Amino acid sequence: MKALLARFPIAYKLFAASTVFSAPITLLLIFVVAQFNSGIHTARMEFEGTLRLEPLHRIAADLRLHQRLSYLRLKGDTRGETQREEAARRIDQALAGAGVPDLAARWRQLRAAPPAAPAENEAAHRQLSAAVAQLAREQGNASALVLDPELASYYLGQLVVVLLPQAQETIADGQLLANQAALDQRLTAREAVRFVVYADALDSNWLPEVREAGETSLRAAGSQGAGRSLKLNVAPLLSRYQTELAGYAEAMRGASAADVSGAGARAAQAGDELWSTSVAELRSLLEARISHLSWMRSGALLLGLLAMLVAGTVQTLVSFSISRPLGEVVSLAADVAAGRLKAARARLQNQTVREMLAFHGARDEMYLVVRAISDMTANLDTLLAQVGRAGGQVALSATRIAAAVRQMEGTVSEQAASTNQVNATSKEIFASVQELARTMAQVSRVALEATASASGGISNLDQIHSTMRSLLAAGEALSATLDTVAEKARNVDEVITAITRVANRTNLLSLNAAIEAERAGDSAGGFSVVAIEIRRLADQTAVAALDIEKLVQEMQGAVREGVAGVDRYTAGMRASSGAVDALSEGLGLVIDKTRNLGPAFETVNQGMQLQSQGAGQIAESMTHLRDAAQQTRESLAEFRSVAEHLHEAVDGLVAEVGRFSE
Amino acid sequence: MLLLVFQAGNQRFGIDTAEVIEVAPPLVCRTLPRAPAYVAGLAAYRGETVPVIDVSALLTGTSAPLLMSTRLVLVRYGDRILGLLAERAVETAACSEADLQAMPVRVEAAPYLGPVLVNGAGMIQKITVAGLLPAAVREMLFPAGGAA
Repeated sequence: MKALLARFPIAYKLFAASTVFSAPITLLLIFVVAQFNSGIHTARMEFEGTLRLEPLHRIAADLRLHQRLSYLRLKGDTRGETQREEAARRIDQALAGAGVPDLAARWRQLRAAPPAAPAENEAAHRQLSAAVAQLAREQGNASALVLDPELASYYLGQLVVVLLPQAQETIADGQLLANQAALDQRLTAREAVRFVVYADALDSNWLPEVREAGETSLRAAGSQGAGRSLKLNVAPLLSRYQTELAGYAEAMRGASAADVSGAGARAAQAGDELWSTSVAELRSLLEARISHLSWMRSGALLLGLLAMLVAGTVQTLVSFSISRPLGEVVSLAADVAAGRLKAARARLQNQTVREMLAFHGARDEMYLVVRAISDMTANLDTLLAQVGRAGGQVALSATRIAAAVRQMEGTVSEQAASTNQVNATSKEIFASVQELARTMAQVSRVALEATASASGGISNLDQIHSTMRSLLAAGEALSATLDTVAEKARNVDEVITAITRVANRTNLLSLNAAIEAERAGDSAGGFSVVAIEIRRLADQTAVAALDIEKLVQEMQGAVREGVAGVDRYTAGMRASSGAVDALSEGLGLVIDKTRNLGPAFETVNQGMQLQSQGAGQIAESMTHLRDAAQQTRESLAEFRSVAEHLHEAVDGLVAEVGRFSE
Repeated sequence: MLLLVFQAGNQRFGIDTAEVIEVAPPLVCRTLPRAPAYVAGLAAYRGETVPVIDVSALLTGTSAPLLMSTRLVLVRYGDRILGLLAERAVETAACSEADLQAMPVRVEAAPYLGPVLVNGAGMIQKITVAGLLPAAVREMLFPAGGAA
């Protein structure tokens, strides 16, 4: 369902929704109009029914007249012959256009063969009258006059279709009986009883019913238009009819034929007038209803269509007000998403969007969305400018770091060269010390020999003398060698100073690298670690250099002691030599002197040992130093690779930012 | 935050590396006559004449000894550059703002004393470069509206 909805634009969906809503409204409108139409149709049918009732009513009246006059003619009274013929002609004419062939045929038969006996005449006319009454009732039923939905016209219809014709029938029966009584010149008991029966029927049956129906109709009728006319016209006739009917019933109870005849004619006439007026008023009621219903129908139709038109217009306007800015927003968002910021800015300058942005206080979501996108584009611009600047800064830092790394590599190479130099120098020192040790061993051996020789006796004095000289020469050689050692140690000192300077330089460079890395921020996280590592190695180098310096100083001290020892030894030798030369001091002194040489040799030997140890330690320190240099070089290689990565990352960032500024 | 740590007397101080341009070996300064004792003078840094302050002299009253570990720290001072002669400026200390503890006391005469970082090696007090120079000295070294 969601997927299906997503396939259509919002305008289509709005249109579909309004169509769906308009369907039941249209249906309701059709129902309402149909309801009105049905009311109008019923009223029209009733109207036509009243038109058809009129000739039937006249036929019934004429038939009653014709029956009475035919009866008089049979009894030999021909005074009403012309009147009878006129009534017969009227019936002919009425039946000819009424479209009731069965009734017309029976009437023609009655006309062609008039009955000879009064009883036959009465039966034939009664049959016809009953048929006409039946026809009138059927007409009333068929045209729904007796089923009218409104109270006033319902009771009026009842009066016109059912009550008044039957009352008229009863009045006519009374008149016929009065005619018979007048012709016979006497009133039989049977006739007197029938008068009373008719009077009772009128009094207690038709009079209350007519009154009831007429008054209900008048009460129910409105006070405007057709209702007002009904009240004005029908009310006096109804009261007159009641009076006449009551008078007629009284006359019949009085059983005076002449009175009955006159009152009957008046009552019949009042009934006729009441009927005609009632029919006319019924028609005007129906007409008023038809026009009212037609007006209502037009009103409902017009109102419904107008409502739908207004709804349609509003829907179209709303649809436009959504779809047009939405299109702009979609294009804008697409531009921003694709990085075409320039196009998006141009789009923000067009008429529709400018108007939307200029309208402050809008609560329409479309306006808010456009404003949000405008702000977003502006912020994105600022952000991109900032990122571009930051990228440039980082690139600068990366370049500086790379330069620092190159510089550092140079100093480390320098340091390595210095280290090698120190190594060579310390090897030379070691060799010198070895040589010294050998010389010392030689001296020792010679001294032992000298002691032996001294112990040997004065005979060996010459030999001792020459030995003394060689000893003196060896002491001088020893002194010269020690000088060389002191010289070498000074060289070592200079190299150490160079190493310390390099370590200091490395420390300085690593400090600056750490500062640059901090400035480059998180993207250079690897740098600071490497910078700290290099600084640690530089510190180690400095410590090692300090150690070497201390050792060299110790070694120099030892050499100085050695020189002093050798000097003492040489002085002793000279003294011995003098003693030997003099020989006056005696051999014992010589031997003592020679014995004194032992501790001096011991001191020299210890010095030698110290020197040897010092040289070994220097070699060890040099190895450490070389390892440190190697590690420094590796760290630098790593540093450079990190710097290259940073450069690549910055290039990527700048390219990405550049893509947005199209 | 990364602090460049240095020493003055036997106390350790730190400068935020964000304010540092470069750490350089000490340069020969041309002294300024009649300037306060802690103004070491003027130095030429990358073709620019930069005033140099002896931080040891400023903080302890004793000038920084000319050792290998005594260095010239070039910092941003507003839009200008100021050189600081700092003793034993050989290491850095990384920390976050939260590690710094505000000074419980305030020394009116030394507005540059910032919060203190306590780490394994003891206390490091942060120095705020902006508050380093009293108004009179600042006016002397960076005269407003002056050249450059």
